[in-house]
Amino acid sequence: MRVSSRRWWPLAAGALVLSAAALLWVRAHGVPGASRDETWTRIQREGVLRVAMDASYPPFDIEENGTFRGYDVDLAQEIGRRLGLKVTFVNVGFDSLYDALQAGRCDVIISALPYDRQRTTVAAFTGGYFNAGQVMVTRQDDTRVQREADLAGRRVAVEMGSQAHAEALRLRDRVGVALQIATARSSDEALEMVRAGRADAAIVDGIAARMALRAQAGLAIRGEPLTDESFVIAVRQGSPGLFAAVKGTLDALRGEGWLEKLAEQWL
Amino acid sequence: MRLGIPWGAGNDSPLRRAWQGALAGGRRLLRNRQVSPMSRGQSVRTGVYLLLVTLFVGGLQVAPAPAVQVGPPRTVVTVNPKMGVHTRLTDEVEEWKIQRTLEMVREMGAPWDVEYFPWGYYEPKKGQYDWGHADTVVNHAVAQGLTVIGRIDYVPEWARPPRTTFRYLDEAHFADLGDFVYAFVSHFRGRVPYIVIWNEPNLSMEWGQRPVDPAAYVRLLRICYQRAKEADPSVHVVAAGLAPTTEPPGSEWGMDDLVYLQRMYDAGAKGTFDAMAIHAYGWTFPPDDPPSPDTVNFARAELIHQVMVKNGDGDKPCLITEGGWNDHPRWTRAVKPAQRIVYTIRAYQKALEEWDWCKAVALWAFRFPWPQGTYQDYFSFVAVDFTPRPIYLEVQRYARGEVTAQEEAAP
Repeated sequence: MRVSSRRWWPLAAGALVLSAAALLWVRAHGVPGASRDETWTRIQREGVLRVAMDASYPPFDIEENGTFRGYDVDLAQEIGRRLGLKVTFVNVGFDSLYDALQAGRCDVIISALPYDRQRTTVAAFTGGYFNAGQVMVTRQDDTRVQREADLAGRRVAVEMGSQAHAEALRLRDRVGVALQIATARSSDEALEMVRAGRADAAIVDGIAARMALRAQAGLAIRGEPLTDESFVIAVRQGSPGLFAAVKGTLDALRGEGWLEKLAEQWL
Repeated sequence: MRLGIPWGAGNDSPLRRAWQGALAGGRRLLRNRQVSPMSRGQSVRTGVYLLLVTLFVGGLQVAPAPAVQVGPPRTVVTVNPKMGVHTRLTDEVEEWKIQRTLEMVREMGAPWDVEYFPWGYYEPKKGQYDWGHADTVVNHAVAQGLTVIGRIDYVPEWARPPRTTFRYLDEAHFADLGDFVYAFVSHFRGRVPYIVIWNEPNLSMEWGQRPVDPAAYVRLLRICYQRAKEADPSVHVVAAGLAPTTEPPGSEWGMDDLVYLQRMYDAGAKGTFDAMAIHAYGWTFPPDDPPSPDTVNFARAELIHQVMVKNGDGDKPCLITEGGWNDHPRWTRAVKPAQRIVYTIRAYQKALEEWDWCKAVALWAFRFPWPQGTYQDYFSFVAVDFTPRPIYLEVQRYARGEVTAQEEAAP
């Protein structure tokens, strides 16, 4: 059966009008379901945002004598301040963070938490706020390495067995970058090999790289991160109001360059 | 996975009809040179539409995957015949993944493979056995030259009261597990030479959320031992690996493994098993950290063996059926990735050079069928997508007698 093209136009026009009406309604009334977000309603009523973190991961999450500090603590406090909420912290082991969220022991997780696709049925994730992915580091005076292909023919130091080691193997064996892998016992040792001229470059995670650069001069991060291991904030599924508030605040902080300043402060 | 156009068995399958329609349209076009332009156009459209539909539907339909061939028998090449791993193929569905996993075990140089065979999966109704998946795993393992150690537990619903866990087995149903062991050993005679009865019965959780009971476990072990030997006198019956723990007396969670094993002997365990399974986790300690009753480390295995010696069972072999180190970046019981590699290789060496009573070291866990999303992922040697983790490659170099990265890195 052939449908005349003339008969499509009324249908298409109708769909367009309906879509526009739906968009206007959402703009006027907010996200559907947000008003039924009991978590967000309670948070607004009590004025308290409960943040779960595994406070054993400096410089992001630190707890000493009942006092929390670190990158994530400052981030949570700033989000709370902008939302007009007091922030309290719940210290939970890393593998129990999602359980705490599901059980209602906390409202959000801010804990150097990597995005986990498998958890999307129980948690909604914001965009990343810090990429801890693997980066290339060379001596400050050596600008030859700017992208992964530039590692070809060079001696690259990695912490044995680490994600950096796995990335170096991937580049060598799957991408075909003919680099020479030199293993070290730690990220610090790998970076020291670069400083001492025993390696042309190192691959280390973004945290180790920034900490090393902070502690000693003479090294530089080169190019874009090789991997994306971004930290995100998790909110329990079914809390669209809370999610929109947290995500919106985080987006604003990113847009203002506030997150980068925070990273410079702690890393 | 192969895509194709499966015609189906009959002559009137929809795909066959669609294809024939397309052909007919083309034939009409060629035949009817005299037809009006409009008719010819319709014929062309009909033919092309049907052809496209045929190709589209054919592309959507996945032809049955070609059967995975078990292949000729292979041999594990290794400098250390005690090396082993615990695989996790119980929930692995696709046969090629089962095969690839076991190939990679062989290629790493590990001749021993511990695998879990849940009773509840294979005897869904009393006396009704379904060995399909287990056969697939065992056949591939044997073809790769691996020696299979089969762990048996997981109580089916029909053998336990409602609202109990699959770890709950009461005395009235001990004989049912004995029957299953008889059937399992009979079926896998010559293919699974070692069977482990139960898992970590010194933990309340593993004993059906009840207080642990070494004497009851010995009664269960005795029944299973007798039934296994009835099926195949040559099969090795292995007592369950105990959870390494220093739980104090009266703990609701479980019982110290050294105490539990002694209680087993007190209850007459001698003569109810041929070998002892040991779970040897190192946590944050190196493999040469000395054993102590109040410490959980890799060398605690020596203390288990000492209990056996003390009870006149020192000539029985031990098999480490779980153990190793974890390199999760955040877990408190994890070590650095480089440490994990060094410790793992040293553990294999230690068993070979110093522990003549230890026959195999099968470390947890070779590969998971899907990401666990927890610290468990960092016990693995191979990623879910079969990418070898650096530890796999380093252990492989060790097994081949090559210079390992740790030796290269040594000052």
